[in-house]
This record gives sequence, structure tokens and C-alpha cells, in this order.
Amino acid sequence: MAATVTIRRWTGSSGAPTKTNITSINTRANAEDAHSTAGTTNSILIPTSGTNYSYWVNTRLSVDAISGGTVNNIRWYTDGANGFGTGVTCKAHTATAYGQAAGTAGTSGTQMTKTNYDNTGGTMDSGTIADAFTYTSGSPLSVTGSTTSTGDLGSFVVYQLEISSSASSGPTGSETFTWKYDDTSS
Amino acid sequence: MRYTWIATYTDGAQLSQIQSDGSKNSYENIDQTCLRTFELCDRDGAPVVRVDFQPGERLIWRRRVAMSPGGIEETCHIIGKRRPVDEGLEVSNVICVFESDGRAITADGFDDAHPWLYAPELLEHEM
Repeated sequence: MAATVTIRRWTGSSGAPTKTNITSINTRANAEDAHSTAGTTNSILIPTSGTNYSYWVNTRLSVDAISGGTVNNIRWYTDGANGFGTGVTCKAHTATAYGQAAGTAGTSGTQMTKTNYDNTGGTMDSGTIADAFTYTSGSPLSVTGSTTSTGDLGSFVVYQLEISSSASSGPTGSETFTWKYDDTSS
Repeated sequence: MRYTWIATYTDGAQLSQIQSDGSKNSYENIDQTCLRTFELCDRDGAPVVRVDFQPGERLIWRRRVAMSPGGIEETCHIIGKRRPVDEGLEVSNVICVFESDGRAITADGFDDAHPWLYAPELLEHEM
């Protein structure tokens, strides 16, 4: 039997995070540190100038069941084409320790930088926080992690939407972010 | 899970991923020092892919999974053969078999720019 692996969105305090299973549902990047599939209460305010941000979204794999073997060689990628709409971009990077998203609810999240992420107690990897759509199936984001047992697996992939004044009001288009891993379980 | 594996040793003994009594064997349990064939079989037990091994050659097998919110997009079985060279072992053949439709792609080696044929991270027993 293959290992049972799920995608989790982490929210809440680092001491007691909520790890929502988003494997079979969508999750919204709003101006709040909370998972929702269709929430609009704390949407991101379109700025008159400059950039507003979603609260960054922490995602991570979880091995929920495994019978022998190893799960490793994790990768993350997009379809390479930004379908969020005009004025909306997305950045993504890895982190080895969870940092709760912060900002002003209903207006803007704090910009995702290593300094800002680490200031919330997390540990973001060094290096360029890149456009998420530069990561494709042929050139994915490598995610550190390997396990032979159940539990949280590997580094976080953290992403954040960036909203400029040219964005249109209402929900953006949806995008699919794909995880890949190798599994040698029974 | 559409495919499971069966390893056959040089003495004819077999190790199945799932035994007839339902018990399971781990890939790491395969004794690669005396491996003769590695087969991927469908749910009826019919072999879909068979790879033969010569003395000194080693197997790499992975179940490679792509998933997104929405569930598992695709699973493919990566079967690689490593043969001895002066510096150690090099990959000589790779087969990738997809569970969704059974199609297969082959290559002379791993290709890190390919969406499915990139190299695995070797496990301790493979080193």
C-alpha cells in the first residue's frame, strides 16, 4: 500500500498550529491567517498605489500512514502561467521552521521576506524569494525532506500573493500548486 | 494502487510486494545481490514490465506521485538499472510506467529536466 500523504495548510500560533488538510479542497490567500475555501470577509484591499499582500500561506506535506519504505525527493511547482489576473503576482519560497503569517486583517499581510518571516519565529531559507510561476514541472522548487514514519514531512513551501493598484476587485482566478514526492513504501 | 512488484532471485525464489496472505514486503527487503528479475504486475498479477539483472547490476524503484489540492494527479513507477563501472555504479536504463493509463517512457538514464525522469535521492541500502 502506498503511503498516505496529504497537503496541510498551517495557520495559528507556532505553539499550537492548526494543520488543515487541503488535499481535496482549495484554500484562499486572504488578508488573514486562516484557511477558507471561499471566505471574503478579510479580502486583500486593492491599494491606490504600491503593493498590498495576502497573509503568507504556509503549506507542508504530512505522511498520515506508511508501511515500510521512505518518502523523499520532494518537489513543488506551478503550471508556469500566472492565471490570477491583472495586478496579481505570487512569490514562493521554502522554510525549515513555521512562521505564523502576520499583517492587518482585511487590508494586507506583512510582506514575505526572510527577515519578516523569521521575526515571527519561523526560519525561512536564504536565497531569492522568486515568482512562483518560475517553478514548473521541468524546473521545480526542491523541498528538503525525507521520512520513514508518519508525521509532518519536510520543509514548508510558503507563498504570498502581491496585489497592485491595477488589480480588479473580486476573487482572483484559481491556480494549482503541485507537490511531487517519491515513495518506496509497501 | 494499480501496480505492484515481484522480485525474482537467481535461485528462483520470489519476493512479492504483497504476498498471497496479504502481508507486505518493503522495497528495502529486496536482496539486490542476487536479483535476477524485477517485474511490475497489474492487479491480476500479469507482468506489465520486466527488467532482467546481471550479476553486479542494481535496481532503483520508486513510486513517484504528483498531488495537488484535488488529490493525486498521477503516479508513475520509476524502474532504473545501475550497472558497475570503474567508478562505481552508473544508471544505464530507466523505465517510467504511469498508473493512470499504463503508458511507459524509457530513457538511457535519469534526466533532471524531465518532469518524471529526474534522478531519485538514493536510499542507504542503494549506496
